Amino acid sequence: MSGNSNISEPDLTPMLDMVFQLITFFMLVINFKSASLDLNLKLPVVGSARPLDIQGVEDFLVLNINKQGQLVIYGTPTPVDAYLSNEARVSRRRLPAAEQADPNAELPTSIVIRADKGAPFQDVNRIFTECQKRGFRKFALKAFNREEDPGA
Amino acid sequence: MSRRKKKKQAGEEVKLNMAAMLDMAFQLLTFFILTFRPSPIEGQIDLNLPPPIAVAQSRPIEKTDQGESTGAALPGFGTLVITVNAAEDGELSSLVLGERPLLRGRLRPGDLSALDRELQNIFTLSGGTFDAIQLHVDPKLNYESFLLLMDVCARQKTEDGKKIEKLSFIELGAK
Repeated sequence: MSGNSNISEPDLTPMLDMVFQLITFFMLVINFKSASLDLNLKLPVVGSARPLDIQGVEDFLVLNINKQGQLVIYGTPTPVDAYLSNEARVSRRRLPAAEQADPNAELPTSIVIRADKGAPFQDVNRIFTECQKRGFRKFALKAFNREEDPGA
Repeated sequence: MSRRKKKKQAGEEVKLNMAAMLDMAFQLLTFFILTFRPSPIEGQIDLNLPPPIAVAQSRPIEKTDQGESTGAALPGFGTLVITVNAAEDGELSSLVLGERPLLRGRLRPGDLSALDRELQNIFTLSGGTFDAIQLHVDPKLNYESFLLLMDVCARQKTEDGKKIEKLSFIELGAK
């Protein structure tokens, strides 16, 4: 035993290569924006809903509306008025200086509505109306293209 | 020269401790695997919605003779009103196209196709009378039914093949 001084060491380089490739993959596919999406919502299923087209859209604001009709931001029910007023103020700053003072100017932000399929229309409409009052004009209503796999 | 000497003197291979790096890499990998949540594929319906103005109902199908009048059009003229009523559970209970009842009871699979055909007929036969749709929606209606109806309306085209861009909705009973 003592005479045998050879220590066999496995070559870890290929394994490390593979692990780094996997890490790279997961780093690339991670989507931090999904944090703003409430994935517990059951969106309606509309066959003709098209994938998000972000060409020409400078900025968008995602509004999650739960089954009770509450506005949910990062998992917390949030008062509509205060939140939208703040967002409208931020969006207004992106307008050309000449238009910023115009209360009827169309804001450059698109509102993305992600509402639960059971949310009552009156609550969704209240949020639409509040957005329109503050100058938001472009809306995108989110839906699934097809029924989600219940096993997923 | 001194550098060469040093190299020669060293003469030993520097071995990196791969195990430590591998440990760290595996920890990172575990983190990414555990936090990985593929987001479902979501589609969307794009709308341009200025604040709606409530309009009176116009009669569908019947072509209105405007004569030679060059005066300003009445507000809401040319807007097809669709009234949507809901049951207590939020499901659609009836749908009225202008003044004509079209659907009664819950939405069944073929109902939306029927509505689509009906709207296509109206926009084709009206000879340009209608260029806008306004939904008068029961506050209790669930969002899914509302979105399905909006989807059908957003697909409509005028006689000359242009998409209906004037699409709006108001809450039934709201002033």
